[in-house]
Amino acid sequence: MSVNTAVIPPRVRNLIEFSPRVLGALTSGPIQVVSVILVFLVGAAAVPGFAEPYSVKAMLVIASFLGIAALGQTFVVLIGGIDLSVPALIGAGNVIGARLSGEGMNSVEVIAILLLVGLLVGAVNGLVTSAWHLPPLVVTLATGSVVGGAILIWTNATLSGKAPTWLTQFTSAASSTGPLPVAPVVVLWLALAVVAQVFIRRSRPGRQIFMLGANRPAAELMLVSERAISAVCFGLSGALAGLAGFLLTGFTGAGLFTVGDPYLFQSIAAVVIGGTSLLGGRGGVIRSVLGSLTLVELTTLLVGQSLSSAAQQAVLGAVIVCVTVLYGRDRSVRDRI
Amino acid sequence: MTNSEMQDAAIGAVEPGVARTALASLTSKAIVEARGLSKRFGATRALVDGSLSVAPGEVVALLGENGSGKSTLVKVLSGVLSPDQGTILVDGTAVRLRSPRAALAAGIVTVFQEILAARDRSLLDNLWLGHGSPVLSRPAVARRRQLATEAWRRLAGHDVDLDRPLGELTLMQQQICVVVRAMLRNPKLLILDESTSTLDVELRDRLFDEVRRRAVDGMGCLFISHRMDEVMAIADQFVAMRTGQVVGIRRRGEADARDLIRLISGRDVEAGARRTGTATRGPAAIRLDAVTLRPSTRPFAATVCRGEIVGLAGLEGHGQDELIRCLAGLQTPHSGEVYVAGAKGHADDDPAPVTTYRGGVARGVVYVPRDRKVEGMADVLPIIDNYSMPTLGRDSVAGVLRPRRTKSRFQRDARTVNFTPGRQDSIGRLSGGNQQKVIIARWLAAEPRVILLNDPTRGVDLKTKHELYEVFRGLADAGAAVVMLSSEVDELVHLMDRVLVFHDGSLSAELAGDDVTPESLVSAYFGTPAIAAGGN
Repeated sequence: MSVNTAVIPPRVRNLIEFSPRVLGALTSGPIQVVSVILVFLVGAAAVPGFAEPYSVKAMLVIASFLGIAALGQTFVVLIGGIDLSVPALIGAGNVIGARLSGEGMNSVEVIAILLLVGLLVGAVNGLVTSAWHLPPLVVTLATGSVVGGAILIWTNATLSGKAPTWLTQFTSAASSTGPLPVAPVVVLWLALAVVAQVFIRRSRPGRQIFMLGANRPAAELMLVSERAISAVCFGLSGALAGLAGFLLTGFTGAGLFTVGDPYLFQSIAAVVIGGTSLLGGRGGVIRSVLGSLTLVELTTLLVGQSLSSAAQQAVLGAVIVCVTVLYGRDRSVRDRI
Repeated sequence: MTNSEMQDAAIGAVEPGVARTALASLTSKAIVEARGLSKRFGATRALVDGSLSVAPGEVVALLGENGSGKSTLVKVLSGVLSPDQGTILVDGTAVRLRSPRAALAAGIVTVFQEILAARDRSLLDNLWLGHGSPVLSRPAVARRRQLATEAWRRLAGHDVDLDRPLGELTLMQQQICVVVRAMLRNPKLLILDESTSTLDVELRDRLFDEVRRRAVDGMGCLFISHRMDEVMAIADQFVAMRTGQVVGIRRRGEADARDLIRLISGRDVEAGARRTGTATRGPAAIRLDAVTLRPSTRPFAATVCRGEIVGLAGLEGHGQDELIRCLAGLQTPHSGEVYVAGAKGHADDDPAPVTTYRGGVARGVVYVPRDRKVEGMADVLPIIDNYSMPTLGRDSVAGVLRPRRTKSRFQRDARTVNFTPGRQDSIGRLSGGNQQKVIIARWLAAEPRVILLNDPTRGVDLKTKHELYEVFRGLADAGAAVVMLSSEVDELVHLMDRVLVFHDGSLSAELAGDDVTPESLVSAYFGTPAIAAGGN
């Protein structure tokens, strides 16, 4: 026990003790940008053709499907929730979208219907979790299951419907948007992200999302309606998942419910890699854009290394654990023993 | 030390070497001694020279304003932080406290300011939380129960259901829990860091008795409180800190409260003189008609007028907290009516019943909750968000917020509460007093007519407390009705125009003018009819 306190030079000790703080400062800023660039450079070095224009365009298209779903997930995570109904709503968007389009319905109407369905299912998630204080994990898993079951009954679990022809062009990596050399779906994604950013920074409900996520009882006393804000966040998540599902028909050609499955893990992973805290109250939508990009680069890199999908899953899981450890450490927790 | 020397020391920076010399005479028999401890956080020197010594059977009060280095010193002594320089001696041997567990093993047991407990576990589990290792060296369940029952009874004076989840207990019972937990470890040195702030007078006195009893058996105690009356009541020695250094050590009898305050703050702060009825009372803003707070308690009536500050007082849990929550619309009284004056622009409206919190806010009734961290603010969010949240609607044009408008509103309201926005952005990094100022500024923006303050100066240092009193006074003078629950007798005497004292869930005394004295308050707390209700 009797060791002198001054064994480690103070400067070194400061460095050790302050490393979490330094990390904290980095994680709130450009580290997400750095990671997008870093993973890209590693990929370019390791996988032949990774940095080719076609390959980059393809990654951007894949990132935009994920990114749109992850934007929605971000709202939910910001209030300290989690939305596990995302894959079911993506599947529903895909199947319903293909069906209705195959029956010759105008795409604008199809999109309106899908947004509405997603919004309603999401709003139910938000109202149920906030009204009875139920864990969103369970509630959203359950509603997702209900939606999934209904779709399977409706379609008899077969491929059905047909994507509208314009959508194939819209989501093709080879196409461009006016003067921009990327597919229109990428432009749509980024436009949605900008709108979402303005919403959370410059609107009253947007600011209320942060307050609710940071401190629920205090938010209530500051006239933030937990039910309204929860309904909005889960509703947006549902609507964006439905939209992502519809856009995916451009890829799948026909309606396939299981197309949403990978997005359970990925939509949450993109948010977490972006640096939005799963505890709520801290983060943002632009971070999730960067998180989606990093995740898609990483997946492409792993595929390029010809890892099996099982091995990919294991590596991505490990990345999530590392990222959560990196971001998730709250300074005050350390101070409180 | 002569009076003039003391004056110099108090007004000047630091008494050179005073800590060291005073210590030299005590070191021989100290349980725990700190020598020249220092701690830096980046560019901030939180602790420059932490030196003190606690002898067996001695109670040492550690005094200082927020940011003076007290908490850092306590964290170093309890193994939470490791010092950059300096030595800690336990029983004369230099030790290195690498973790809180190491400090516990050395016999240093700390009760921290926050209630560290698992709310969903039973009281019994919480009392033995972290005791020994999970497998070894922990008394058997029956023995634990017995020891816990005895320790609780000794401190609280009554029995308690040890199997109830902690979260269902009152704040005060939770506070007792963490103190009893410390006692069960049989500390050599007990550190009480603001652990009395949620206790009522009766419990606090019982705690002091218990500390004295243990001191006779050789326990040392390091006691931290912002309340001068408590410090004067218990301490044998006073150690004053300012800007990270020990600036003076006094033994009991060497200094009175005023001297100590001067030593801590480095300047003269007006001591607790009672201000006498300068308030100009306006029309009634709150009217209580035949209100009962609980089944089968005596109904009572009361009025609060605009322009006055009315205190709610009593031992913890005697109804004052329920009343202020009823006024805020957060709960409804058991029976009777609570009326509050009309909203802005309807000055002459008859008071109307308040039934919901939101309805109350709409009528200009605002509420500052008791627990800042839990209900008052979001400490991870910026100051400006914590300020603007309920009134954000005013800053938007066509649904889009204009941050510049928010900022200019904040600057105006911050001036009113005497808060100077610094470079600091996050509210969590502000001192308790400044956090409270931001929370009050938040509601000023709602142009309140009735301001309900639930123990707003708890854990706030003396200087800031007095600044807050000025703010409250200013609000009342500007025509608001201010109702403030306070657990501090000095504060009630100093600030209030009238005090409503609660006992057994009902209003038991109403003191006004010269009747508001510490003695009359305390006797009213216990329901003693020695003082007739002052009334109007």
